[in-house]
Amino acid sequence: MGLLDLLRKMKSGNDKELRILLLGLDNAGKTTILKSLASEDISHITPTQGFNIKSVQSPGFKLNVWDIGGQRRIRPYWKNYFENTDLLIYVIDSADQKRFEETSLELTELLEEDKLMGAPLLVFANKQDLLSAAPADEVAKGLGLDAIRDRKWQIQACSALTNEGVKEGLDWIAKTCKKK
Amino acid sequence: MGCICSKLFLWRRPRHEELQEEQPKQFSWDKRREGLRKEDYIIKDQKDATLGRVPGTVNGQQFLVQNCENCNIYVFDHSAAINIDDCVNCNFFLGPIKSSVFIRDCKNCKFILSCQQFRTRDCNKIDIFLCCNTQPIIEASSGMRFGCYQYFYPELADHFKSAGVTVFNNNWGNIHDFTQDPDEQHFSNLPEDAKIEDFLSIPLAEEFSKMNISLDVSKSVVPKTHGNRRKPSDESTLVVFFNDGSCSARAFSFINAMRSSHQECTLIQTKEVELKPEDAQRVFNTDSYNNIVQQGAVIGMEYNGDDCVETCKTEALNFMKGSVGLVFVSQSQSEAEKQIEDFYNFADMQMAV
Repeated sequence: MGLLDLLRKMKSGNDKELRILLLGLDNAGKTTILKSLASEDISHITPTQGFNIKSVQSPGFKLNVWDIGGQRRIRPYWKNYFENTDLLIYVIDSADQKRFEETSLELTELLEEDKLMGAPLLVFANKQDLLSAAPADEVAKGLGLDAIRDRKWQIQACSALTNEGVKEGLDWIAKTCKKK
Repeated sequence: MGCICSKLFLWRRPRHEELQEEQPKQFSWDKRREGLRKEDYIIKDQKDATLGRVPGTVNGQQFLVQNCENCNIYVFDHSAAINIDDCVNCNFFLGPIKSSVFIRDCKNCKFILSCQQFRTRDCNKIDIFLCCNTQPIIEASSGMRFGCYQYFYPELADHFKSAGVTVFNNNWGNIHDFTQDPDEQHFSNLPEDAKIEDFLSIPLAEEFSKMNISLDVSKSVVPKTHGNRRKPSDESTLVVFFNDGSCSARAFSFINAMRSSHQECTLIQTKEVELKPEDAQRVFNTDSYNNIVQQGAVIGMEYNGDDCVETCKTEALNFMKGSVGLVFVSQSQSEAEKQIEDFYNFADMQMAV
């Protein structure tokens, strides 16, 4: 073990733990983002039937990320996971124009939840690698993010598949939660 | 309560901060889209037509089909992802899809397709010949019938490779229904003798005339498996081909040899999976294979039928004559049972998540 590892290990004992909820419609790419955050292989991901949890180490933080399946039928169960959430990540399939309205409605409902009140919001405009993907500013406009007044928020263009933009999102999380 | 809060917050300044102080970062997708026209990657608002794309024209991009009626649509190329929306009475061939295919609001359609993830919502009466590397899922869909993928054209095997879809990990018969209903089963298997050509004909249109498509079962790039239909016999056996660079070709020759001379044996399932030495030790109950499994993924096959243990032993011996490749075959019925369970339990665990 190198000195750096040793220092890191000593330091990690004092890391702040954050509970992060990863939500979004089915097929948005939540699990791929989760695995991408944890630097794991993303080539054989199966549609999520229940939920996945991973602990991700980032400088100064231990992130406990909860990835919950997004099918319409199981969205009513999202609320079972709201308690003690420090930050909400909402994932959009930027290339699925047909469901922009549906995903916008789901997000609006989430932001009205008492238990999520004030929790910072990171929106991943995912699947930017796909040809028909809308740019992040268009997604932000469609979601009406500018109207959000009661919490910190950020939209980040990303492609979990090519592993681009995900780290930038992580940086925002670290920056935002340090100030808290 | 919510109302008062939102009023209180109205006068607050937005707390959204711009992070982009430094030079905006260049992402690979900025380049990727250059020179491509979105309209070349979409088929929409068509009626009573036969149309599609020939190899090389989609080339790993996303593809979309929207709002078509009475059409035959052929995408003879690999793609990143495909959404099929609002189609009625249409038949589709879709080349290998790297991530997901999502079929929504479709009715009376037929598909031959291969993908990493298969998803449907709000569909009715859909027949699918499927090769899917993960568990296929359906939601709010009914009258869904599934069968094993069969297809060949000369570029197809390369399209599978480009899309990263494995022909041996086909979960076509293992459906998860998100909207289970105790009174109604939403999905079933297609009849065992269902023929691809009765569902989607080989296109005769000029643009596809050079495709050299074959529906001959022995040429199909995906082996035909029995899936989770009731097994014909109580006797099953495990055959494993170890990785020597050509194990896929050898597995196919074996499957074809079995089909032509031993029709009483049925190929139930196949799996391509990486084993660590300790996994090999557990599955085969010997350390003989601990070294060879480190050369790469192995291909395991379950055969079923009366006397299949003996038949596969003999056939494997014939098959391996004059070959340096290594193959494992269960030696007895009692061993076979445990080996199949251990191998497939292990493989399914690897596949989960």
